Amino acid sequence: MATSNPAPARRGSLVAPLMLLGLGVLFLITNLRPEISVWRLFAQYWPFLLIFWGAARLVEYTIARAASRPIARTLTGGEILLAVAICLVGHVMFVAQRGDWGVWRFGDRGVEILGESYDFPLPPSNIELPARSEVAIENLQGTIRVSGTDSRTMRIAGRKYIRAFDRAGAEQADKASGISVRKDGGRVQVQAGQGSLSGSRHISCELEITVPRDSILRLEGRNGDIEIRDMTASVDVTGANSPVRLSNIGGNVRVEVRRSETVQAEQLGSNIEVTGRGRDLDLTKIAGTVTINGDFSGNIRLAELARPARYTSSVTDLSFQKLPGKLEMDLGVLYAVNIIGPLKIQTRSKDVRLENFSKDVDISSRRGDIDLRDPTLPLASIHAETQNGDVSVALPSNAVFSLQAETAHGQIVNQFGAAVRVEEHGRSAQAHGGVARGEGAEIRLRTGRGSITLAKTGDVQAL
Amino acid sequence: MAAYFCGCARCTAGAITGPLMLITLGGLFAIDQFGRYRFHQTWPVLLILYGLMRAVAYMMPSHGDG
Repeated sequence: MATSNPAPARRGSLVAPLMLLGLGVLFLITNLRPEISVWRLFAQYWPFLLIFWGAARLVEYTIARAASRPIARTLTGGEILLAVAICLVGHVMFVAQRGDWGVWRFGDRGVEILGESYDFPLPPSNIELPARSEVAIENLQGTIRVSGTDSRTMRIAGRKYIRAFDRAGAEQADKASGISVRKDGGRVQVQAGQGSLSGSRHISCELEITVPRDSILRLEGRNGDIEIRDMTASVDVTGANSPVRLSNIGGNVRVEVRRSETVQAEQLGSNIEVTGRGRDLDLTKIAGTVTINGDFSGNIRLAELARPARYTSSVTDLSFQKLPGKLEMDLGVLYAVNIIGPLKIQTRSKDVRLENFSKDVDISSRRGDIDLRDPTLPLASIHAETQNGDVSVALPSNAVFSLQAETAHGQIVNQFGAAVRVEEHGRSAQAHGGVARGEGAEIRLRTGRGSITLAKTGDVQAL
Repeated sequence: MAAYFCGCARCTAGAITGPLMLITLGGLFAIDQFGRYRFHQTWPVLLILYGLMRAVAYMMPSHGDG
């Protein structure tokens, strides 16, 4: 194709003229034979135009090189512009001919809106369910609210939102999309209808679902808020990309999130397991065990946990027995008040502050201060170790303990007077004291660089 | 040799960058339409390819094999 290039031009490419020619032929065909849907063909196959173009340029280059003829080395500005224009037009046409006009989405949050939003009511459906039915809700875009009731009827109602250029387009998309509800004995499956509410980003729904309280719920979703409340059986949420809120659930709860802004659960009667990635996490009033496995980059808030909890992320490992108070944690600080051990914290770089804690405590951190105050009596063992940071422990004056403290680079401040002996060697310092080892609570404090403070508070009544 | 043409390895790498980018762009959009990955997920491939081609061009001798 490059062989007939006559001009000694620098832009010696035949591709652009060929494309113009093709475009002309295309328009001509549409005008003369309107029944042939060239647009549809273009909308489907335009990416191959780019591939063909690139391949043609490669061929041209090889031929020119073999013939030692001059050729433009790279794409010119005009050609790049043309390529971008083809991408834009082609993509918009592809989206348009697929039936769902509207948003053209580039990236996860950057949404370019080309149309308007139209909403359509969904025909409500009522289904009778036997006891302990399984209800699965899958792949629906949009907000889903599920609540349990005493009635045996499952009710689905809501609205559908469609982005489109005009009402006609929206109505067409409305007809093409829907929600399918299938019932098979004690199993109900609520799904996006064919080729609609799942794949398209231009159609979303807002569903209000009420189910018999004892149904077993399974939600498999992608985008949109999920809210579930007042259920007595287990709830399973997977693949959520969006906020998940749960309240008043009797059975075991499992939540697996991909990139959720927030996971919230309160008043759970049983165990909860949260895995995946997200930002904020808020668990309150959980009667069962709590297992969190994943990375949550925002604020983590735990409160009123009645049974053992464990949090494992790529930087932090935390476990304790019970949390009548609360625990707050973000990337830099872990703060807990009224927490019951045995408590174990292993973290990379966080300041750890505990107030009003009981039973054994074991903290190790690579970087960060450790501040422990007001343990309940009788005192249990305290191990705190950081490679870089200050360690400070405030104990009631009547606490019985044996102390071993050591800083490789720093000083030791002691408020317990003669009971504790501090020795300084150059930059390092050590302290020993209290009752004989093995008799009182064992306290071991160590820092690689930083000070150690042993502070005294007033007498505290033993519990 | 003609004025605008240099057959050295560096120029070759530079010259085929554009066409390769076009082919990749077309490929990514084809995958967007027929495959399972969307373009908003795959576009970094373009950056990687461009960087790679620039790096190759940089490392090639400028008057090498001719």
